[in-house]
Amino acid sequence: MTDWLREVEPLTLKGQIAVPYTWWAGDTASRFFTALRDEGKILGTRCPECRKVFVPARRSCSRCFVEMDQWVELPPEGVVETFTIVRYAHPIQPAEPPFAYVLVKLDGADVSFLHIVKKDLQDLGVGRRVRAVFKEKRDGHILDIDAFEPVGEH
Amino acid sequence: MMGKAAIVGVAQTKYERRKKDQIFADLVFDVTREALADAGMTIDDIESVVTVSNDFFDGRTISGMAVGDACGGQDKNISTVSGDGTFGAFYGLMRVLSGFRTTLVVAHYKGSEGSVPVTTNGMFDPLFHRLLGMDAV
Repeated sequence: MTDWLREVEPLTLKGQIAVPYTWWAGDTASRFFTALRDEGKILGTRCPECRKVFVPARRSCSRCFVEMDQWVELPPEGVVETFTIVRYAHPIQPAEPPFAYVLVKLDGADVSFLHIVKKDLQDLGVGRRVRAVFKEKRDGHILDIDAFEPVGEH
Repeated sequence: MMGKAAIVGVAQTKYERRKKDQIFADLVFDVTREALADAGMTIDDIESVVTVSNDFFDGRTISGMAVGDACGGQDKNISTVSGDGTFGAFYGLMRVLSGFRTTLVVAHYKGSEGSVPVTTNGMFDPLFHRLLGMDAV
């Protein structure tokens, strides 16, 4: 570092970019989020060609490049495929650490679903059964699921 | 068209916390001169320039353009694009293979000035994933 800068507090300029966005959920995600909000249901879509079930619901199959217009209701339960525990805090996080990010293969789905686990982290592990806990007041976004939590025995 | 290309000089900024005495154009200026020295070349030996960067990290749009002068791009065929260093290296390779005798590639990033969690959270899908707070720390 330049010597004279060691003797002083270097000049900085504070700034922030806060750009407002309005993301339209579109036809497919709107159905997914309204079902989550109004009925507490998790919806997926099935590919008419490879028969794989995707969740959250999406319109096109990434493998077959065809439209997926078959809707499937998935149970709020599944198996942890992988997870990581977060031990640092940051304002963007939806929960106080420690909490875990989990990829859950919901029963009947062919892809895993990203969400969080907030309690009983000591019971978490690959292959562990977990269940979605829905918020009482739901707003039509992914945090209408408050978190997943481990269920049953190890 | 030529069939071969070679990397003839490299330089890398020392990674360290903050670097209070250098803005990112300073980093680019110094590392460009180091790379030229490593190659035994001067800026006059350079025919084309590629800069790669990420606007979200720099906090400004067209951030690659902001270092054009610092990397000696004035009056040269310069392409300033969004990307990482690996992309820049391959883009530079393509430019050499398509006829430029020499291409200088510079990639810059000064993550200490922004918020890496907020910026990398922006990688995630705004509808399904971003509210979960994922980042790439």
